[in-house]
Amino acid sequence: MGSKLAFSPRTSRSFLRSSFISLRNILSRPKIVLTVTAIVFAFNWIIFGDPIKGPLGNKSLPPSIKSFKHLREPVYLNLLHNSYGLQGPETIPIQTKELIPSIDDSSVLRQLTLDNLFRMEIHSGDDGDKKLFFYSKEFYHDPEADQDDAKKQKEKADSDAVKSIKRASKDFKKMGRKVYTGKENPKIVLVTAFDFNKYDDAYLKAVANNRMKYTKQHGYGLYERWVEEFVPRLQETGNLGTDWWKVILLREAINAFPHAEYFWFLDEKSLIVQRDIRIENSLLDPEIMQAKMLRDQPIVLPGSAIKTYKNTKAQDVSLILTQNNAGISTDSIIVKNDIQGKATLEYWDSRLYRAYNNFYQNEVKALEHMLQWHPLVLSRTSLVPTRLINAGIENKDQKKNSAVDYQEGDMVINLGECQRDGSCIKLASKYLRS
Amino acid sequence: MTDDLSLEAGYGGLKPKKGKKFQLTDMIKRTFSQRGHNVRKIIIILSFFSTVAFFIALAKVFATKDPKIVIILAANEGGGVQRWKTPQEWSVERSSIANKKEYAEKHGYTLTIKDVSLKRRYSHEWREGWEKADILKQTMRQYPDAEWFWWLDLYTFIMEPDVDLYEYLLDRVENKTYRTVDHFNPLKIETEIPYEETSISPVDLVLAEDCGGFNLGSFFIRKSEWSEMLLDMWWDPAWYDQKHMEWEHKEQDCLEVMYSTLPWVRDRLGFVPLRAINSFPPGACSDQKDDPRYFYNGEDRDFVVNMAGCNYGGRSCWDEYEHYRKLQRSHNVAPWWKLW
Repeated sequence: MGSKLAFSPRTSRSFLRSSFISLRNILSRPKIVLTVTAIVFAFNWIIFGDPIKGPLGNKSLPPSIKSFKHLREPVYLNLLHNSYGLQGPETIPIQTKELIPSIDDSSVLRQLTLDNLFRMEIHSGDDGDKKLFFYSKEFYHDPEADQDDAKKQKEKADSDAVKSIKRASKDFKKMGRKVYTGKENPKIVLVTAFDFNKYDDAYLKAVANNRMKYTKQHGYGLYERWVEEFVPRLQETGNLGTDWWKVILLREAINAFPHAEYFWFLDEKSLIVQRDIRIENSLLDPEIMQAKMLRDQPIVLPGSAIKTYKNTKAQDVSLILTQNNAGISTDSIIVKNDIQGKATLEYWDSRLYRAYNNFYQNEVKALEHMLQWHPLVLSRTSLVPTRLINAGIENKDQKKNSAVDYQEGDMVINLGECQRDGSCIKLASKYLRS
Repeated sequence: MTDDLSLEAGYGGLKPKKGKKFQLTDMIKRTFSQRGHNVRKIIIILSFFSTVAFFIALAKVFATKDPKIVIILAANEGGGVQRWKTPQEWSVERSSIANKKEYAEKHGYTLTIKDVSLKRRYSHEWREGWEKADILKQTMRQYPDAEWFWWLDLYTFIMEPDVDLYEYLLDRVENKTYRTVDHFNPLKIETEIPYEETSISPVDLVLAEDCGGFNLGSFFIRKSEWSEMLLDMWWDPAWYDQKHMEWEHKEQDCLEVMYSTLPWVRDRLGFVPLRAINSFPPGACSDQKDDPRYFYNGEDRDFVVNMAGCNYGGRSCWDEYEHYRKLQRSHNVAPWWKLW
C-alpha cells in the first residue's frame, strides 16, 4: 500500500490544518514563544555567530574576507591579448593553405640587397665599419593605407621594372604579418625558408616547387619565408650567418597556423623524394611513432651520459628530432602545436640562449644543452631514425653510415653542403627525376 | 481532563499504536494541543530548527568542492649552516606553524612544512634560491590529487582564518586576476609581447608585485602541464652563468626575466594586488612608506601579513609577530567570547 508517510492531498490538508491549530495554540502562550525564541537565538549566536540569520548568515563576515574585490581595479582586469607574430598585431588574413613568398622575386631581392630592404646604419668600431640592420616601419604597418592619392598617381607612372622591384620589396616586408584564416584547418604544416643569398634561383625554384607539389597532394599547409627576413633579429644577438633563424621561423609558423597540429620544418637543402608518403602514416601516428622512437639513445654524439628515456609515450611527444653523424640535426624538425612544443621553442629562442657565448654560433648546442638540463623537455622529445625524415646524401669525406645515408626509397634527401661546389641544382634534378 | 484526547496523548502518545497507522499530523496535533507538555513542545520546535540547520550545513558541504589545496610553509629560512637560531626565532617559527595549522584544519586544506635551510647542494653560486622549484616539484608528487599549492614563507601570518580560498580567489581565478602588468609595473616590463595568448589561457600561477618586483613570499600555483614546465625550466645553467651576478633576488629575478621574454610564461600568470595575499607591515618598502597599496590595513581586514625582512633595518621579527598575532585575535573572537 506504499509508504505510510506518503502525502495524499487529504493528509497534506489535515497537516496544514493541524499546523494552523498548533500555531494558534503556541501564539496564545507568550511564555513558550519567548522561551523558544530565546533558545533559537542563543543557539544561532553561539554556533553560527549570527542570532537571526543562523546558518544562512555565513558568519556575517566583512566583505573583504569573502574576496578582495575592494582592492581590484576593474579597468585592468580584462586586458587580454591575442597572439600575433614578431611583425606586430596588424595581421594580413590569408584564406589559402599556402603562406608563401613569390619565389620569382629571389633575383630582384638579391639585387636590392639587404641595404635597401632594411633600414641600415653604419657603426664604426675598432674593427672597422659595421652595417647594422633594423626593421623599418613598413614591416609592421601597411604604408599604402595612409598614402595620399597624389603619391599613388605618381606610382602608376612607374615603369614595369620599377613596379616589380617595388612590389617585391613590399611583399618581402609583408610576409611576417600573414596569418591563415581559412575554414579548413590543415593538420600538418610544412615549413621552409629560402636564402636568396646562399642558393641560386633555379635551385630555390626547384625546392619551392617540390614543397608545393607535396603539400598540395596531401592537403597540408605550407609556410615559407625568406631567411633574410630575420637578419636584424639575428644580428641583435650576434647570430648573423648561423642557422638560428630556424627556431624563430618555427615559432612564427605556429603563430600563422594557430590551429594546425604538427609543424614540420624541412631545410631548403632537403628535398622530398617520395612524395606519396604521408608523414602521418610513416611517423606521426602515435602507434607508429611508439614503435619507431629511438630509446636510450645518447643526445650528444658520441655517447653522452644523458640518453633519451626508455618509456616515453608517443602521445606525449612534442618535439621530434633526428641525428646525423655529428649529433642532433636541425635540418628536419617536427614540433607539435601544444603548450610543451611552444614553450620549448620559445625557451630555445630566448635571448639568454641566443646571445650566450657557447651557443650564439650554433643553435644545435643550445638544443642539446636544453635536452640535457631539462628532464621534462627530454621526456617530451623523441629521436627518430634519421632516414625517416632526414636521410643525408653520401659524403665522400665521411665514413658510410647506413642509419643516416640516403638509400633508394627514403622519403627525404638532405643534400648537405651542395651549395659549396654549386652542385645543388644538378643533384636536385637527378633525385627529383627518379 | 478526561476526554479521549488526553487519554491518547498519555504515555506513548508519540509512538504509533499497534494496529494504527503512524500519523505525523496526529503527533503534532497532540503535542501542540492545549494540554500538551511545554517541554515536549520546546523539544519539537528545537529539533525542527536543528534539522533545518543540519540540512543546510549538509547542502553546503556538498555544494563546495572538496578542498584540494596544499599549503606549503617554508620553515627554517636562512637557518642551518650559518648560525644557531635564537629563542625568539624559535617562538616565531612555532606561532607561524600554529597559525597555518589552525587555518588548514578549519578549511580542510593540507599543510606541509618544508625545510628551506641553506643546504650544501644549493650553497654558494649554486642555485641557492631555486630550491623553491624543487620543493614544489616534490610536493606536487607527494600530493598527486591536490589542485592548488599555496607557498607561504615563514614570516607570514594569516590574519583572517575565515577566508575560504576558493571563494576568495581560486574559483574563477581568471576573472579575479590581472593578466598584464599594466596595473602596476615597477620593473618597467613590456606590457605586451608577440605570441602572447592570455585571451584563451587559464591562470596557473597567481602572485603579487611589491615595490621591488615580483613577490614570491606568498603565491599560488596550480598543478598542470604548464606549471611542471615552469618548474623544470626555472633554473638553467646557461641563464644562471650569464646572470647570477645581476640577479640579487635569484629565483625571483629569473622568473621576472621569464615573464618578460617568454610568451608561454606570460599566458598563465595572473597578478593580484599585493594586499590581497601578502600585505606588508610598516617598515618594508621603506622608500614608499605612504603608498597604501603595500601596507596592512586593519579596517579592510587584509588576509595575510608578510613580515619579510623583519630581521633587518632595526626591525624585530618577534615584536612584529606578536603585534599581528594579538591583532588577529582581537579581530576574530566569537561574539559571545566578548562577554567575558
